[in-house]
Amino acid sequence: MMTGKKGFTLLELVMMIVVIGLSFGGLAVVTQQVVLNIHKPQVIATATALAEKEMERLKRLSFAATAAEASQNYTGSFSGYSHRTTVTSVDADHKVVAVVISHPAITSLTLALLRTNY
Amino acid sequence: MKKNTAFTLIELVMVIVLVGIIFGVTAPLMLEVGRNWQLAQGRNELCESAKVAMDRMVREIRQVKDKTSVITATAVTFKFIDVDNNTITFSTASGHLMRTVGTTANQLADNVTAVSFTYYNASESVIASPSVNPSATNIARIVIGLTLSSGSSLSLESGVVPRSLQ
Repeated sequence: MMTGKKGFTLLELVMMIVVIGLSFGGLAVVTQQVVLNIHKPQVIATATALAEKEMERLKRLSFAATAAEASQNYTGSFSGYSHRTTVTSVDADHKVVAVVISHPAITSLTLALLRTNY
Repeated sequence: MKKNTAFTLIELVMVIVLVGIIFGVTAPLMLEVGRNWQLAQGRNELCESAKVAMDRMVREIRQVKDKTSVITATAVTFKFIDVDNNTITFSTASGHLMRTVGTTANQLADNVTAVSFTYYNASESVIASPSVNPSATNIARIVIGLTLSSGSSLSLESGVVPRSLQ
């Protein structure tokens, strides 16, 4: 029977709600990611500077004395950051010294240097 | 039979009300996002200038000419002669990090709230008042701290081991 009144069917309405819901959901996920990661560049810059500082300290040690260091937390302005050192022997006269800076926002940042026994 | 193909007034009003409600709900959220964006932008600028200033200081202090080239070494000022015989000073003046070559002062960073130089001797102990020119310096390693604040604040700490001081 032709009534001339064209409305949305229930199915169309449900589909529309689902589509709108999905797009809002996607938007929410993106927004959340942005909010969570917005401070990452600062953390990376701070961690890079700290890694360089530790590496400079390690550079002053003799080849033989350059050894792994357990994780140690920073305090004060850098609380939340921690550093540790790993040393991998390549051969008798070469080792790779890696400084690992950890922070919850970036998990970790590694600065590695090949030390030679000169 | 009358065909209703257009929207009725009530339908239009309903649509406008619904759209209004949706915008009303999302507007504060969007405003908050915008505010955070602006804050993040400011922090990124702060971060960039801190990085640039720190890199510059580390790179230049690495070029200390020899053991008698350190002229001033305090917690807030470091003055030295580099391998090219330039006399370079890093200090702060009313919120600016200054780099002075000879008598020409240049601004290295803005919004600086703190610069600190910490000196370590060959046995890795902190030295409060290092020996400086004309004596040979006992500095072996320098740790540089830099804090910038503008809205938010950012601290960086890096270190440098000038080859000529070993």
